[in-house]
Amino acid sequence: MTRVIQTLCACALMFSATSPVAASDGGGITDDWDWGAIEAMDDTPLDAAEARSRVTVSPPSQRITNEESSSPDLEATPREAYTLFAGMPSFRVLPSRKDKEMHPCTNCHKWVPPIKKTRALPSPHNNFELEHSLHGKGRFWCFTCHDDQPERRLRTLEGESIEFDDAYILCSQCHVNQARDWAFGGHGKRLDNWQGERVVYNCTACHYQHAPAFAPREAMPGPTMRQGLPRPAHWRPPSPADHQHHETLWLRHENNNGKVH
Amino acid sequence: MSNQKTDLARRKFLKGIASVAAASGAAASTPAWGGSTLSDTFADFFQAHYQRMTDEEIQETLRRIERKAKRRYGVDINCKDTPAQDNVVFGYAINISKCRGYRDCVYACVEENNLSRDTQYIRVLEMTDGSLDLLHGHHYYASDSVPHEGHYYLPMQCMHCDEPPCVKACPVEATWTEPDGIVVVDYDWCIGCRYCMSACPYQARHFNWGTPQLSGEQINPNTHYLGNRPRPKGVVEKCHFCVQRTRDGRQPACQAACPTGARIFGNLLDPNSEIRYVLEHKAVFRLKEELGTEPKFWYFRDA
Repeated sequence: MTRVIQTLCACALMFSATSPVAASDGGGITDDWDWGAIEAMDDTPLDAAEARSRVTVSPPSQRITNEESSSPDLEATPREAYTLFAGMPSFRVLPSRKDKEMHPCTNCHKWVPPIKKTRALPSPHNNFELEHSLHGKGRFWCFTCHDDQPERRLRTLEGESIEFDDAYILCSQCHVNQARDWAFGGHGKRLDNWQGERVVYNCTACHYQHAPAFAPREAMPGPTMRQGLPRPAHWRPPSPADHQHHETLWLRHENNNGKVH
Repeated sequence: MSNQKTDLARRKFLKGIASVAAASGAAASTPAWGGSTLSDTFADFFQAHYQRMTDEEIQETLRRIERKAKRRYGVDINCKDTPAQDNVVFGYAINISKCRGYRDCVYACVEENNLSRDTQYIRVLEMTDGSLDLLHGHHYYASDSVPHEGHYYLPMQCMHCDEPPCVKACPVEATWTEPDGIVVVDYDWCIGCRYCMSACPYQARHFNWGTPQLSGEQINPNTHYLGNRPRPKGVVEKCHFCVQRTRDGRQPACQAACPTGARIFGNLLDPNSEIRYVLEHKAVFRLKEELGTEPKFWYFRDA
């Protein structure tokens, strides 16, 4: 609990654009970040073009897709959730999948130490799209959330190292309202049952962490129209294929007889 | 040719009689009587109202429903009669900020509940931003890329009212409210008059104009007498909160299928449930509240 309060405190200080010294006092950040670069960022909101210029944008074909990167591992044991809020019910969180090949950072940075200066990513990083930077108005980049030691995975604004599977701690630093709703059941998704043990999906199961907004998607076809009604130009009749089960992450556990392992 | 037909019909008739005499309604009897057996046909005819049947009669009825499904679709279904749990009243809430009109819930519902493929319990309305005018909600919005600019989406299904006007309208009491708040239909008692359909202010009830069209491999074998068992032609049906799932503690299929987490379901009597959190902490509203039907189905927005 203390850790979370400290984290939120650090977050608030960072967002009020105080000097890094103040942030350091509040959150205990004492490492060798390039605070000058962050301080150099002015506080005025960026327009989209300017924000994109800070982190180079890739063509859509090279995008890391949501499904591949962050679908939960339904076979793994759900992890006990940390207490983020007083009085929140106890529940467990599904871990994400272990195959992180779609995140090739460690291919090089296992050996090559990363440069921690905040900058537009040059080649070979420039195919990486970080839409969270638009969301955070250009304040976010790799080391806002990632640790520079690959084995230490993620780190909070306070500087504490956490597992990838506890990513909700990271999200809750800024998205406090959503995190509270998620902890109490008003946001997010519960796995399979309304009764019995509560197992929920992690934030990153639904939101791709580097571009958290949901992208528009094709909907299922509309209902059958009664004869005689004028049909809109876009209308098409539902086909038998529409009734085939789709292998979505929501249905995978159903094929497993509804068991949560 | 006509002689052959008569012979066939007579043979069918005699077979039916024989099967009754021999097996007196045992499951092994040969299907002959209009695709059924004489004993099953008689038992169907004399079947009582669900609430008036004894436990034995209910068990016989369930086994008969399974036999009929086996004959009609060639699949082994499990028809059960799970009663309502104590101290449970179900409630539902939908976050209209999160619903993006994918219609995944609609198709999950159709598959789960053995619906005829031209019937849908859930209607997703495309609404203009800032308007709650249901008359101008659009069912047939294009499915190319949703959500559409300037619109939000409002899924509607049975609201499971506490004062259900459909139940008051039914002349034969074929529909009623269960102790856990689910409004159910006894499909075998329904006479198909459709009074309930015109009484429902939410257009939640649907009529089987023909025999439901679905094939054996589309049948969901997990069925409930008051829920998704195969329905006959000429009866009214509606959303039943997936009674075959929810009474076993599972989520309704629409909630399980929703990829945005817009749907919240739970026990209204449990102060720690998710639905209670939503009702106590969000600005919720209900549709057509002025009619006094007390729906147990809420809508809310983020912040």
